[in-house]
Amino acid sequence: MYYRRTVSDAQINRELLDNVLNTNVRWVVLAAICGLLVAVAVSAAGFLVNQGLGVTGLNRPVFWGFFITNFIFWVGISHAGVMISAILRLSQAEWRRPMVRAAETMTVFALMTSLMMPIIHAGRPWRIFYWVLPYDFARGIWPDVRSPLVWDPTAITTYLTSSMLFVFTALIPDFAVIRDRSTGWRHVVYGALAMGWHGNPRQWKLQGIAGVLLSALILPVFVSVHSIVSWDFGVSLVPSWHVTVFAPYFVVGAVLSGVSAVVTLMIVMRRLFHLENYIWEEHIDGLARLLVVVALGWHFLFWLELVFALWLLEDQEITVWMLRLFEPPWSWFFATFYLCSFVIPVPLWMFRRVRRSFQMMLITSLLVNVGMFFERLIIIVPALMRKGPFTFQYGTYRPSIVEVTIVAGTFFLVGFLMLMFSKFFPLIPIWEMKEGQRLVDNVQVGRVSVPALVKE
Amino acid sequence: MQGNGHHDSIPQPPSHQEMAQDALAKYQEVGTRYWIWVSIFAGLTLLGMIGLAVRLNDGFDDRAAWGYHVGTMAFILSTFAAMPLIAAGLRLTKAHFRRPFTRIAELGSLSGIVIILMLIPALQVLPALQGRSDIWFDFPLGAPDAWQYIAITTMVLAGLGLAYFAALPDLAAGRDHLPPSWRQQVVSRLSLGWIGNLRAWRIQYMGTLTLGAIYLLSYPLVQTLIVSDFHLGLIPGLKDAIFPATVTLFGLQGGVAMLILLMFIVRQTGGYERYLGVDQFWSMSKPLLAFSLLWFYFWWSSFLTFWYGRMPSEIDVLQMLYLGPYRNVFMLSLFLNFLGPMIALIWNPVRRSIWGPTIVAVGILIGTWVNMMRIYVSAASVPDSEVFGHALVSIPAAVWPAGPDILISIGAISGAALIFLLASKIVPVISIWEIGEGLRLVKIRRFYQRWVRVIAKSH
Repeated sequence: MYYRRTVSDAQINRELLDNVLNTNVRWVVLAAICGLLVAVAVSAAGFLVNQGLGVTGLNRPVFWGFFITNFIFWVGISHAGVMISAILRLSQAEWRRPMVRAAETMTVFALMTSLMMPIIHAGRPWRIFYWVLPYDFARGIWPDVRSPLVWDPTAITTYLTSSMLFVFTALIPDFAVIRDRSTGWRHVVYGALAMGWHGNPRQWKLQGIAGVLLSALILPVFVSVHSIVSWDFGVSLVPSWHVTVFAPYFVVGAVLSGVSAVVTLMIVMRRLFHLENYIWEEHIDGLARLLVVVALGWHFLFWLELVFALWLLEDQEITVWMLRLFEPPWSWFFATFYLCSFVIPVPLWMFRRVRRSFQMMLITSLLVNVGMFFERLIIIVPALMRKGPFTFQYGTYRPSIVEVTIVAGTFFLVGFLMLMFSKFFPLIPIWEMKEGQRLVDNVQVGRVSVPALVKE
Repeated sequence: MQGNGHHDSIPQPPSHQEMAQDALAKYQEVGTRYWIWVSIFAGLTLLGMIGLAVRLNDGFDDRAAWGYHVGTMAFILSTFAAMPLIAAGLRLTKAHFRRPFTRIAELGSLSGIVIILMLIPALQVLPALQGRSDIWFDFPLGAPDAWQYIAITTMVLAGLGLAYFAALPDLAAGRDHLPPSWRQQVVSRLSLGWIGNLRAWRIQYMGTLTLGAIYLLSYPLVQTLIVSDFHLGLIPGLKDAIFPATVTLFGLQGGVAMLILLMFIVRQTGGYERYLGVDQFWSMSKPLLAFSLLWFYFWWSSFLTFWYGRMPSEIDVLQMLYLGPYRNVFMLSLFLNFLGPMIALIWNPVRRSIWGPTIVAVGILIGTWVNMMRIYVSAASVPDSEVFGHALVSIPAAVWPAGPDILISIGAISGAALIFLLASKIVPVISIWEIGEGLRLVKIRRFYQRWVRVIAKSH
């Protein structure tokens, strides 16, 4: 089933380093467009810092809006890296090989982007340090370590550090390949990054151990990150947020969103960099099967959230859900979320023809993330819009053009960073592809030669 | 590929003909020791029925007296009945190591008969739905009883169908190789004239996948219904959305633990050392470790939300379930289901052994029993006067098991074991055709300096 195409080592080097060693016109055009749009978003962010939060749509009682929605969205996307890389590496899934680097890299850039969101949301970015760092020793004022708002940056920076280490460790053999094929300053820089890698048995052994150890150690961090984000909501007493299921619901939702983003990324990469020899229908099929399992688990948790929100028949809880389900525009957002995240893609993924179609998988994976963005929005805003015992003013929330520009800019920022990365490093790991080629074999079963894999 | 030096020489596997002859010979044997164990379990099951008769004689008015009965039913659901999930899941993911133990796992579905029988009196002790929190929201047409039966029967039938479909080729082998006897006649009827043509294999393949998928989907539903009606709905003020998922996870952990224990028993007593080797125990110890870590994660997600919420109803619930009368019971379960397995299974030499995972599995099964009793006995002990309120007025005292409770628990578990034991002589306890298929797909080849296994991907 897998590894039906044999590619020589020389061809792997040539094709996967093409964008690194040569200039691709399409890459230049795309990078320029993304860079320009990022510049627009940076200008909007500068305007917001200069003018203050008054230029956003945030007002009483809704003080969490598009920025926090986008923060959760990108933390969710960042869960792709570990899901694809660490879990599939530990379970020795062979089809993971072409997608691990892109998934890990997207994790890093998505986390960086998500970290920017609360900082921008603060309006005066320097104020964020008051919440996180001890700043007033004389008066004994300390950040509250019992607050999830302190756990958040701790978990996310830990995840970011470990993800960067993960990416770097897996890049070392590829640095050496580029070092040996470059001259001048590039040779010096890649030589320094390769840290004397010559591919002897001891180095390969250490590299393998580091990969497995980092995979195992990063898993608890991976689970903790979105759990802690969920506890930003869960440990409060806001109706519809104070829910015990939020932690796994957020984590599984993040995996659904992240893996869908990887599907999108793989299909775009394949088209942009002509990676047809490395990204096949079988890889997208494998990811789609994984998505079916994740989506079903996520749907189970979603229904538990909904059913138990109504469990005690509390007025405030029912009010929030009535708002989400029946009052426009929230009901439209809810319908969009549910249709895009589950109702449309999951039944389609049941068909092998859809799972193996790049066009259909591109559409369905994009739909999932459209839905997941709306999901985060309807979790946050309607819950704050309700009339509470101490809420004397209440109303709706509409994002301003500044917020929309900044949030849209984050998508181009991640795209821009991915393009920049692809210019300096191969997005498909060269050594993993070569290793995969060596583990391919065939076994004769009766009259049929069946593709097989070498296992220890 | 990174080497660890363990497979410098891999013994050549037997041919599938040799394996089939060996396994069929073991299947044909019905020794004295087998009948002794059947007698013991039958005796214990009888004692359980006496315990149940005592409880039935006392009537259904005292719900607290039925807590252990419900807890035992949940224990069987979370151990024996969870095993087919593992078989179905591993078959869907085409895990090669599953082959020798899928039959053991699938036979766990037979315990569904015990669960249905225990559900009948258990449903009689539930209070009326009107005026209390429940999952049914005035749902018509016989809620909760009818829907409980429908859900559980669907799950049990899917499990039995899965076990039967997966056993068809082996039943045909039994038909052709057993000496003429009543057993051979039964096996012959059950084999439905299987001759193993291409069409039959295709139907069998699709059937096992479909029934496995139905079992995978219906199991969380059944756990949700049981825990909603017999735990969450009986404790006023308790709103714990994660708990149905938590008990499903408890089931997965208990299912893996029960499977490892049964693999060990079958290996030691049936002479199946060649088939149930270190590979199988090693492979299953990894999900066991993962489920043990998730056990804590799911519990913690729930506990932390209540702890921070600090509403009076939440403090009462924490007192009742974790910090009050059942504190020691909870601590024991926390150690046996999370701390102990984590400390032991984090080490590869422990995981890569026969005894290591088995000892941990026994601890987990004890922990699961204790945990199920805590969950369901505590809920059953809330009096009717409080069940219809919005919060607990007082924390009920712990209910410890009486004689009939102990008899019911031992009897029900023995009943599930007895059915397993009897079925293991109707169908071979290891899946001969699956092992044979696996042997055809594996070759030992030279790979650079060493010998390795090359595994072909089936289907």
